[in-house]
Amino acid sequence: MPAPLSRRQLAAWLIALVGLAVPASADAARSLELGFLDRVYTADPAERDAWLDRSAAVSADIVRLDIGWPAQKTPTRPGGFDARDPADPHYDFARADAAIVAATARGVQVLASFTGAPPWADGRDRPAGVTPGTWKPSAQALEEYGAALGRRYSGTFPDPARPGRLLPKVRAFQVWNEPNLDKYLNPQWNGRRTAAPALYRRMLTAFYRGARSVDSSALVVTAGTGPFGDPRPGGNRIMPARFWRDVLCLRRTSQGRLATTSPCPSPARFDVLAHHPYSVGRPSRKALNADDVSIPDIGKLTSLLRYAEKTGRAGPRTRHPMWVTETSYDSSPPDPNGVEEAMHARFLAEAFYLLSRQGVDVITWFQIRDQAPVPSFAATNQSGVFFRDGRPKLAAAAFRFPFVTERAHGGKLRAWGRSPVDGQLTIERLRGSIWRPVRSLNVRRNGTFLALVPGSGTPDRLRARVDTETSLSWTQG
Amino acid sequence: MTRALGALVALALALPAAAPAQAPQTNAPAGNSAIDEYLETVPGASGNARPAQGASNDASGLTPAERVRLEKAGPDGEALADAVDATAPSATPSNRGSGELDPSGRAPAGEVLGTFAGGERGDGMGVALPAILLGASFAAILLVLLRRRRAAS
Repeated sequence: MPAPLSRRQLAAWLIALVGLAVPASADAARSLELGFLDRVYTADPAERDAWLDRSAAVSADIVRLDIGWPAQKTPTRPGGFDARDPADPHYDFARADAAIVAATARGVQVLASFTGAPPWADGRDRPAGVTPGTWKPSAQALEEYGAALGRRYSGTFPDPARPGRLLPKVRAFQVWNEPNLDKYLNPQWNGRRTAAPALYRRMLTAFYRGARSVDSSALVVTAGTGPFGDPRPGGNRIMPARFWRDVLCLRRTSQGRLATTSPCPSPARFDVLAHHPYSVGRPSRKALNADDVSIPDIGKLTSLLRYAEKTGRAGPRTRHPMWVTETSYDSSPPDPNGVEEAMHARFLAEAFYLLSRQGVDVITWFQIRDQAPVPSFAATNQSGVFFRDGRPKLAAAAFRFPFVTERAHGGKLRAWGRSPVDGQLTIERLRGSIWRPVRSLNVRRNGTFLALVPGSGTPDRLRARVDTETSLSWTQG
Repeated sequence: MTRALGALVALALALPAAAPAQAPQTNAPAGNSAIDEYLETVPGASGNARPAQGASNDASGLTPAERVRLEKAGPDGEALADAVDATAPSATPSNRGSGELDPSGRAPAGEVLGTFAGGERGDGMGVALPAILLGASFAAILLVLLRRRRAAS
């Protein structure tokens, strides 16, 4: 008579049986890189390094560093300034170099971003009240800065602070921030017509030309656009889908279809399109206006992008990935009007899932630590996955090991996540007070997984485990 | 019964009508009501205009916490939140002033629904009562339509 099965054997058999019952194709997963944008990464070394360590600890792949445009800030262009030469003494890259070296040393890649021009690169006749550095920045100056950055961070440029060593290659450059807002680029409108998109197209393409002229592998990311604009012409903001249509020389016909506009003498050139889909309400809430873009609306931009690629309005002629270089929610505590801490963690994971499902490859969460509430909570961001004093929020666990489930067809549940380590991952369901395995699959570090598991018909509480790590649990809403 | 349902329909119709002349209304992400660039303008019947500089979410139909609470109730709650957005009055307290606004700046519909949903204190009835109100309104409309059809045949 065969010996009775032990609990472990029974569990193994159950996993195998359930695994057989679920189609293997359900495990198809895609790549998703996660990281942060935070000013602390360009702070003083001790503070910067402590937060880079925390970034690596929660398994960040990439950080978005605001390196600025560190050229001399004189009203007129300094005499003898060779702006294409990254070693020109009119530049001061010391802080940017140190931050890039520190991040790379921890295995964290760098997206080097900048916004705002030095005074000599601003356009002429800047109206009073318009922020310096945002008024018609010179495309020629951007091309030169592109060449300087492309060469300095190509992986072949000597590090002046570490004789005999080279500066690391950055993953990508990001040209400007939220150019659909007058806070960053002006003018936004010219009467009833948009002005900023054509201006930004020239800036972006000039930077691309400069960066690629010195490093053919330099990756150029567009500015991430702000999520909301003003519906009427002449406001402070342009809705992001409208902004990108105009950058890409596209229009909507009266039947709602996309068409090209002409002339478009110099179509935009870039490698990656970026956006900042902040959401009002939960991550699944769509923007109210057709041309605004919140978390579930990324398709509004990818459809434009694919059409622009097809019609030669987005060069080079390759598929352009979609990145989200800012999104977040404020948490309570500490912000009294933020979302409750457990919900904050849930929103973070759900945002990652929804964005990944829409084809987003890279997400940088704004930010790793809370800002000080000065002048107020309402005017600042408490969206960190760590409190300001360094204590982790629940969102830190959700960032390291995001796990989401939702109802799928046929009474099944779809489980998605990103594993922090290589190994065999088990999805477990809570039955009474015991977690029971329902599915097992092989995963790789920072790779996403997607699996179907049988549902019970009532809200199921599930979690994922791999090696010694356990995700936060998720119950379908 | 029919008379009571009629009263409910009238109430449901009166809530949005109670909103004063429309100025742009905005929604802010939770906790960021004073960050102008991330305010969402709500499409309004009187046309969409940009929010004024310094506009805040204080005048929104629902507070972020109320919105989250409603949305947690599922699709019905989400629909209700959107309905409040669509019926809320101006959210833009400005130096120019708007004497017609409730001092709190919140929409009458939002105020009523927010209270029912539990508001910040969690002491309300959740979304149950607003859902009942809406359900009753639809039932009344159906009843009227059925009667008309019967009368026609």
